[in-house]
Amino acid sequence: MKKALTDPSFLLGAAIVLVILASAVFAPALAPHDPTVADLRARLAAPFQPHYLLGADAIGRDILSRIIYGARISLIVGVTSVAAASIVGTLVGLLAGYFGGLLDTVLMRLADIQLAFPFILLAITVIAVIGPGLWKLVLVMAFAQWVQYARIVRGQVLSIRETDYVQAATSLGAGHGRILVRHVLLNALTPVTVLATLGIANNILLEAGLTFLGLGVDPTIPSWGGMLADGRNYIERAWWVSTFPGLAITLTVLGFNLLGDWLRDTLDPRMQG
Amino acid sequence: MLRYLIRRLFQSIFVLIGITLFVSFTIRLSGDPAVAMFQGASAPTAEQLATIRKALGTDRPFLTQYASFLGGLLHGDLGTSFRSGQPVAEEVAHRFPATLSLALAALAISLVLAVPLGVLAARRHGSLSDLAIRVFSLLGLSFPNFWLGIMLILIFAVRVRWFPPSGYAGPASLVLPSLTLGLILASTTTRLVRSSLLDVLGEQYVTTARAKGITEQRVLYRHALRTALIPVITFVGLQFGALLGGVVIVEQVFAWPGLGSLALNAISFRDYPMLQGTITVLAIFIAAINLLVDLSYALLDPRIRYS
Repeated sequence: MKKALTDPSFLLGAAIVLVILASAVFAPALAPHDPTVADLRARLAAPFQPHYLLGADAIGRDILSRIIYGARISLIVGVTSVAAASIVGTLVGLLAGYFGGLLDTVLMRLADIQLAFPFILLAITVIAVIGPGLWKLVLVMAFAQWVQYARIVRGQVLSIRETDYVQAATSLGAGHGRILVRHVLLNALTPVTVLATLGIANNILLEAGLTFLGLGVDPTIPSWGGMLADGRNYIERAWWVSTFPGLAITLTVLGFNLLGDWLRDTLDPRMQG
Repeated sequence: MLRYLIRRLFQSIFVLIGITLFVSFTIRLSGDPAVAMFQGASAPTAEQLATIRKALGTDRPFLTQYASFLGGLLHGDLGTSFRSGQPVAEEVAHRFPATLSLALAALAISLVLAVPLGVLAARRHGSLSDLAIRVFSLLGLSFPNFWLGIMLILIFAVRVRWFPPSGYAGPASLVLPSLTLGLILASTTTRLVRSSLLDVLGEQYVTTARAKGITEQRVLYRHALRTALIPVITFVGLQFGALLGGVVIVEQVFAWPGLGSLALNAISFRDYPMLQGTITVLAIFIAAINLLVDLSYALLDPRIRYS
């Protein structure tokens, strides 16, 4: 832990994630304006003024307040989708790797398909049918991504299953349940943690992209992708409307990527890139 | 080799069946296309609906419909658009070059940037330029592609008017969208070129070559780089799917008339045959690229066994 406090990528990543987390949690206290209230006198107000620090959008809503509230959407989607995908994936991967057989074969074929089908295409297909929305988006992400976790856990389980200490535990009469939880699961969690941290970064990007396309979160809710879709139309007159939300996305994703890279280097020295 | 080829071909076919089955099934869940066709018009009678179902063939069981979709696909028939009444395959073929040129230009830009930068970072391992290149690749991973596109429009089309902000008119309009995708792909590829070259430079045969007195330039370009680029080729091939996913979003930013905007328009008009056809063609294209990459990989690296 001492080492972590001197590692620049950990410090920067943790600081960014903490700031974003704080703005999501304390949004009502931090935001200077109501993010949904339009002030028509402030339409496209320029930034760096005392009243509208980061300017206002086309119908006069405060951009800073919308960015602060927007952190909620990004974090909710990023964290819940990864939580769902990693829990389901870990369970399936654990069972497939440990028991093998049909479940294992089906899993590996699903992984083949998933690797060849880009998420955006899958999301377009599914959302065209079920319609856009925050929780539907989370569902689509979890549905598409659990296989990644299952695949990595399966690989871990296969190698751990053959280690001496698991063999020893088996010969001492430990049951499947005890071996799976005590010996296999705890060891398989390392790569899952790394993958999940980088996965949050990735899903925040995907959410913003799909919302930008009109396939994500409801446009009336303040979200960074939605703000960018809005700002695209005023790019010639008001650069700030699309610049600041994009900065917010980049910083947040950078924060999670830094943490993920640091975790990977710390937890598993062999994976260093 | 032949056995590997056949096995790999079967795997690709299996994957394609999986994807097309998924897409067809999902789109079928959207409800009755006959009802969707009457959107906005007065409520249809049961008789009208039955006629349309029969005409569309949607009165048959799902698997029969899927089989006939596959059969059509083999003959290059992707069905008929609900909206225009024209064959889907025609529209897809018309849009395909725009998407392909964007993807290839992005790929070219990424390689032109990534290989020299990766080599530089590996040669000056631990130096300031190595650090700068690592920061570039981490930033590239964190940039939303559509935001980068908007920022490039802001700088190069609004501030200095070097390139058109959007549309599809001549080579100049290709620059900004392909730069958007190319820069982002370059960041991850640079990372890989760097680490792959570092690995190879540590291997024994490189040390041997150096010990024989061969110049460092020659060691690098004749011996190390060739080996180091093999995993890069695989990576770039695997990234092709992600690249096409990015193309879908970036097409929207630049009003680029490719398959991505075709699919998104199909969603807003509930034109399900068009959506199904577009996604299917993109999936086949990605599977074909992946197959080619795998085979070239096997040809390039004699250490790969074909079992």
